[in-house]
Amino acid sequence: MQAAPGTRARLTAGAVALAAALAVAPAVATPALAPLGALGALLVAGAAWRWPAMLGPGIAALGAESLVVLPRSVWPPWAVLTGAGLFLAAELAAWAREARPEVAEEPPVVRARLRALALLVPGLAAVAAMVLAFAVASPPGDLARLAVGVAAGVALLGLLTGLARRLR
Amino acid sequence: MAGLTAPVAGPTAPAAEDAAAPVPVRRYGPKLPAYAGVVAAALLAGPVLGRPALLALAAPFGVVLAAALAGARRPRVEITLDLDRDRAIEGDTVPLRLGLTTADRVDKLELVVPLPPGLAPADPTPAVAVALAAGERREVERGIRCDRWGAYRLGEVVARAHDPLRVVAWEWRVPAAAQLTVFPPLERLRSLVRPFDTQLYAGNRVARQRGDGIELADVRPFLPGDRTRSINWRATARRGTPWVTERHPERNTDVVLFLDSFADVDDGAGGTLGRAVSAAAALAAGYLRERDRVGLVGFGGMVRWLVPSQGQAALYRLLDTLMETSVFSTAVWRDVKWVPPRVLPPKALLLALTPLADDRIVAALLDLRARGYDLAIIDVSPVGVPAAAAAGRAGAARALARRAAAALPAPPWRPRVEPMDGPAERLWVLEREVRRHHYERLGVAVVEWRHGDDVDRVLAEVELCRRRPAPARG
Repeated sequence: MQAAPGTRARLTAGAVALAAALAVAPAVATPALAPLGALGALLVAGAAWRWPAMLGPGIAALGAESLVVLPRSVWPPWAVLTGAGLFLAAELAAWAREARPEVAEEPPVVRARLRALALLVPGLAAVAAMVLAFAVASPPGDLARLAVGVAAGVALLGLLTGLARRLR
Repeated sequence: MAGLTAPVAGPTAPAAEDAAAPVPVRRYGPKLPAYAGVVAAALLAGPVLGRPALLALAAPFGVVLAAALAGARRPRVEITLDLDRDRAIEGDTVPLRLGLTTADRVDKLELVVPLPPGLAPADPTPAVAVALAAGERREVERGIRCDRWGAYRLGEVVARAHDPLRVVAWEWRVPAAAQLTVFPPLERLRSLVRPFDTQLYAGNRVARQRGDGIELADVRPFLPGDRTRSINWRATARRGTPWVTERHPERNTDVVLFLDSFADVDDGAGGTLGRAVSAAAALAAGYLRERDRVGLVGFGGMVRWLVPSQGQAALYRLLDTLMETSVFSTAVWRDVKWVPPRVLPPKALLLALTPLADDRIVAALLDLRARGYDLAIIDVSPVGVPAAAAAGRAGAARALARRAAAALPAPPWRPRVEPMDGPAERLWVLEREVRRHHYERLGVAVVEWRHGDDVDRVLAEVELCRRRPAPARG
């Protein structure tokens, strides 16, 4: 079992590449958003490399940039993909920060993480699509109610997870 | 373990568990504030801006947070630490086994054994991360590289278990009681300093007394009481009267190694104490091989001693005691200057290993000489090492400055502490020479042992410089 000194660099590169892709796509449509996208990508890179506190602002900046160009009234599948992409970029950045060179990770640890990510990203994209579908289907002005509904749904999910853990 | 912050009190241990068992502390990773911030911003901004897409962007983060926080459960992992052996030689690698037993599945368990200075992980990474299935029992083997002699205690194992989503971690310290004694490589000495006097027991040294032995001492006329087997028939036939052969018996000797642990002057090469301990170990092994009895006096913040004894058990006892030697500062026994009389057997050779850096050891050795002991001093010198490190020199400079300050009745100035070079170093070297000459005037063999010098050469020089002490009066 050897340390993988390149793991962190690879994960950082992956996170930055994904963040850059998420930043570039809206910037192509609206060039004025390029600085915001660049800032978001830089913050994600900083979070992956050394400063984990930059992760939240980085994701927020990238999300804000995407939000500007997302069409307002039509059902936007792009939002689901963007959400999944943002989540994956955040996970990769957090993983890069976590993969310290002084810790030798056994292959099963890495495999478990990869497996979790592979299950999480499409699953969460489905959740995002569902939320979006509800939002679009609800009458205009009921978004606040939907937000409360989303929060309640998330809390219910948490409650069910906790119960399942306790009963197991 | 960087990356996790904001310690939060862990859950209380179940009543059935042992109260002394380590309680894991729950810690949250950096993802928690980041994701929570994103979710909160989206939930607030979405309705305000009328953008349902915001909820879609934030939903994955919210779901992960909720699942992680609700599903976090303290892992039930038992960790044991076991060393392959408890004795090693400098430079050895000792396998260390971590026994892991878990009741729950743990996706990532980081383990690290904090090592004291002198020991280092043999693997390129000090920590290891493993994945455990529920009910699994396994062993993780790591290596410890023994860089420096000493007696070490591996006090604990630090463990950190992560949840599958890497939002919550549990950290705890498992107490361990593994001990490891690292011996310096025992140099085989070609020659030893011979004591002037021998003891009563049989050994390998030719005694000055006459008796039953092998070495020829003299031939003299037969006297009443002489044994017939001592008659020298050749001399008797030549002279016509009976003559007998006298021989020197083979006896053992008592050697007491006198180790100065008042100061460890950093010479950039392991320190004077390290060299002294290595030499003492080699000397002990050498004398015990010659069937001598070897004792030890550790003279530092406190006086510790081992009465002379012989054999393999004595060697291990001596080495164990030597390995525990360290500079020990105490205010209780600051004025220790004398060795208790019963510590040292009569007619023993006292072989002192000291950097002659402390006034108390100087006084103690002078006192021993005055008591008529057969004394030889190996001056473990920090002088002459190219990298005679700033620390050692600065320490010596500070000592000089303190002494200078103490000599003045009311110093109107603060002594300047600066790295020793130029005049200060020359002054220090001269002061050491004065001390050595003082001993030499008293008939004590003092030989300076600089870093890089061969111990055999130093011992040979000691042997050449030795003079029999005058018998003690009274």
